[in-house]
Amino acid sequence: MAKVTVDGVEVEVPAGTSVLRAAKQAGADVPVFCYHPGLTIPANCRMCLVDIEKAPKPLPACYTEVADGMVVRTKTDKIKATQAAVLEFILLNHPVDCPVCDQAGECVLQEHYITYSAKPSRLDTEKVGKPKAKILGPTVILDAERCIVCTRCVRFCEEISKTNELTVESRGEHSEITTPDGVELNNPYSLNVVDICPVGALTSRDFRFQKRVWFLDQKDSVCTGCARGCSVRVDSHKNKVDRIVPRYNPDVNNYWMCDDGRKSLHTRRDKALTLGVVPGPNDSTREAPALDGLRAIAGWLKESQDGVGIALSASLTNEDAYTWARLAKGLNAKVYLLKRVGWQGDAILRSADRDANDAGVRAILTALTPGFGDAKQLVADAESLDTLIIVDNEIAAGDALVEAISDIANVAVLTDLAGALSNAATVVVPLTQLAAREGTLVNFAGWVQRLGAPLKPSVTTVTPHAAAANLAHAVLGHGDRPVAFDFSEKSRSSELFDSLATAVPDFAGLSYAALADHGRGLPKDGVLAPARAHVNGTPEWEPDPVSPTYRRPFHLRRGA
Amino acid sequence: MHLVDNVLLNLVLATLIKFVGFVLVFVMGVATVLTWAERKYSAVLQNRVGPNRANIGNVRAGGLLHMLADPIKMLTKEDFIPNTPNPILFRIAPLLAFVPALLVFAVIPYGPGDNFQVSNTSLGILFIFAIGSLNVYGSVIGAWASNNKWSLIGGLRISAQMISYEVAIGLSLCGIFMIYGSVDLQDIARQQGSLILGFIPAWGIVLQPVAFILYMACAIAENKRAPFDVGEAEAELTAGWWTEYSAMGFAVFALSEFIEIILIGCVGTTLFLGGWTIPFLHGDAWWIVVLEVGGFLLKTLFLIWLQMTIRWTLPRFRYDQIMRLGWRIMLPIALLNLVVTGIVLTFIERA
Amino acid sequence: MAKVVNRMHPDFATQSYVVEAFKGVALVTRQFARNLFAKKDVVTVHYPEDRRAYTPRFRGKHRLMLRDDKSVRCVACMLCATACPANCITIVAKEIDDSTIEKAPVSFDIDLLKCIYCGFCEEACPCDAIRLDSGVHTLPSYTRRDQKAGVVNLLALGSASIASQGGENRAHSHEGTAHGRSSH
Repeated sequence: MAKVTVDGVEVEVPAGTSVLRAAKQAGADVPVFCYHPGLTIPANCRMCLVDIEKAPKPLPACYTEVADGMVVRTKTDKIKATQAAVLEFILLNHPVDCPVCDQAGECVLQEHYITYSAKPSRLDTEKVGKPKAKILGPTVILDAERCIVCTRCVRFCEEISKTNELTVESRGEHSEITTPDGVELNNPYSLNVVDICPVGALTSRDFRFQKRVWFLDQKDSVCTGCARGCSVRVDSHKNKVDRIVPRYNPDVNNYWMCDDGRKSLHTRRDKALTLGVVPGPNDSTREAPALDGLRAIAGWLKESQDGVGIALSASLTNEDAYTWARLAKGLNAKVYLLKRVGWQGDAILRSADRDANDAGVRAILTALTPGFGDAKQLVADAESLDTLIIVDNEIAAGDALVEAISDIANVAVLTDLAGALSNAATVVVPLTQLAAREGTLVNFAGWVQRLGAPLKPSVTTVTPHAAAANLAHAVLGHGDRPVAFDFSEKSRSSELFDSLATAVPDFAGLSYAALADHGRGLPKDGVLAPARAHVNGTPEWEPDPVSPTYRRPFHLRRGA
Repeated sequence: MHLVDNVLLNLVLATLIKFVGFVLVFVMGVATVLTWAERKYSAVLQNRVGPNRANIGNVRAGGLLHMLADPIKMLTKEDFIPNTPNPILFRIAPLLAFVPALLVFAVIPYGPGDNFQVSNTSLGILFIFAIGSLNVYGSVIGAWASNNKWSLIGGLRISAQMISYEVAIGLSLCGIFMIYGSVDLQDIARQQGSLILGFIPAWGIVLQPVAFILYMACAIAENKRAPFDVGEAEAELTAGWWTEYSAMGFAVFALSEFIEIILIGCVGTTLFLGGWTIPFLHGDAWWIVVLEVGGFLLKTLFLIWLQMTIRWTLPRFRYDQIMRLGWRIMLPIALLNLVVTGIVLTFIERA
Repeated sequence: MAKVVNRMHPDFATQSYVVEAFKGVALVTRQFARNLFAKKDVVTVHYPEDRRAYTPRFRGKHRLMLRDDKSVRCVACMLCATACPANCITIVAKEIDDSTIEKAPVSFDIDLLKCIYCGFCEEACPCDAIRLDSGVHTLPSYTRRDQKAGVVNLLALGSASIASQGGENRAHSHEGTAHGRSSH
């Protein structure tokens, strides 16, 4: 351990800690551009220079390790002049086209300029011109004039994605990020360079010019693209998701997420169902809200409870799976667990399992049902089933399954996306779109996290657990029709999870409230791992100190 | 039989002609013009523009077309009947106000002789009082039948006010009757044609100046116009006793108010301004008769102008002030005027 | 501080009201004659036919200004929408080929019913693209839809602006864009 004094505050940090972290622990803000906690440290931007006693010149805080008894000053006049000079150099050739720059509002350069310089430019010759709107690959566009050559993106491609697509060309003020001839920036993690770019040099072709960032409402959530369950922040405006960016979680995804996870919002946003289908008179069908569909299913179940099958998706939340498992138990129905297919994992983040909650649903079904089959079993059992309810598995259903269910008399599909299964079904119940649902997911490593539900649900839709509760009330309870939907889902999720935690041994000891922020691991051998200390600035739980994806950039919060 | 028929026929025809000529042409004509004149006149004296929008093509005629536009508007607007237990009373109230006001013109002499009086009854002024005071029923019944608290309060105020001033107006005119020794209006008018001391016209206003002022004040109060319009009192009572009236019901009430203005002018002319007589001009020549009739109408118009001007000059009195004025000032002065007149008359007769 | 009210104590002649009433009659008659025959004191403006001139500072219906090549000056930066206290501006942006400007509006809608004509949008605009100096009073209409001013509508009132913008003379324009109004 080493004792360091930063701006008069004495802190004790482990030996080998950088001065930057020690300063953060002491509560001193040291500005940085090139430093990123998930990458190696080049110390090339010189923004983090600090005064250290007995050192002849200012030293870069990010690269300098602490020594016992070190005295650091971050706010001396010399440092202030240095910071202003560094900013003036960086801004010398910067186009300052903030009004058309997507980064404006979450731009590190903007914030540092306002905080540490705020002086007009003294340049009286032409600025150095560089390519603007240069396409680097299918996902990213480069504006070389805005670039401050911090090389975060270059390091990302070297160290994290290990694809080495980016490099720096030329020298001095002509330095420019570029790709080698014939290579384009095209890897499954390419959009991370947009997140880590401190200025507007690298922008996402997907999000480019869609929204100014200060309009966005930010909500912490979880990516449901695969069994990794990356922590994300969902940015939405006017009840529409505009982008998904990774959120630091050292237990799951660190600072990164894959491009497919980000793009999943398009399928979910543009194809979300608001009306389902129910049979009308004389073999006709009509579009109907969720209530009508549930009434039809309840009608079947009240007629006969023999040969009922319930097929659950392995992507359902724990609460949904728990409610449906209880309904299946009450109906003595056969239960099947359906998997999504058509996905490739890799060694970085992407799990080979495409279902977001396979571990959780399996644990719940194991605890609450006498046994459950898989898709093959369902195809084999199709002959013996009279009624089949498929919950939330529209993505990548196999042809064999679609064929098998066409023989079953009553098929109902609950889904938020239209697909092959719902086309073959008699009744389609529209589920609340994923971004409007709350719940918890367990990733492949047993880490439990909460979905954020940034959007408001459509009134014609229903969440899976509300659907199960209504069916249970109509068929097993005393009511003769589905009760009115309870839209206060927010409180429901916590009640359901806490109930689940007592009913399923794998979840013992967890509570919904304890899952806030970055989640908790499932207990191993009945013992819960201690929660990570959630303190800003500790090495244990340190968010990226400059990443604009972590904090709300503008205090200006606009109404919808 | 033949003779009787002819006489009867002539009588009916003559009456009809006189009625049409005086009541329909003059009275209704002036009343119609007053609907425009009242607004335009008040506008001009208050630095406003006044009605000027009604037009046919580009012809606006200074807003004169409002006389045409307003009846069309009144006829085509919704005739609203409030939720009242007395819809029939609500309906007939405007007529109760309108018919007596019009009836009274039967006895006004607007020229020399029977030819210029729709009906010459010896009752004269008493007929005017008898029929004219029925007017209050229209307003009060209308206010009552409106089933509206503003209307009710307005109705209460005007019933008290009209009955109070009925007393003062009657007493103020008694001096005139004593001087001329008659209640026959034709007779009173003719007597005013004579001269006192050879050069002063023997007009009522000369002989009874106090009575004239009392008459004008009480008559305006009887007509519920400013400064005595507490029954309407927009500031407190929305529109007072006629709040609920719309379309033609409202129009008939408003028209009867204008007709009463003319009536006050006619009666005032007959009693105080020499009636149809013109000083120093006597004779039966046709041009003299024309001058006399014209003079009567001009004097009437003068009194109408006076009423309008007073209405736009004085602010509204408070209700209690009106009652105090009526009972504690007007009535004693009228009585005093009567006593003094009697003493003077006796003195003159003795002398 | 209490204010002393000087109450009038009129004499009997005044209080009797008779003389005063006739004085009043004389007064209004004089004013009537003055308005009728002599100098008119009437100040009414006959509105639809005669209109009072708006001051140059009047903020009326918005207009979008044009570049020399007749394209819209707006670069869809949405600073006006951000500054707008009434939230009445909705802009959808698109990418354009011109690499010095890059961005242009696909649609630029102003909800004139929500707009409070504060002029913050023209203050916020870095391009002199939106102005409220058209001198056009927004008129009432029968539907809400008619009160949406779109690009076409806003351009119809617009004209070329001489302010510098975008890549033109970028290195030398330290003072930013000129923010003058056209003479009115």
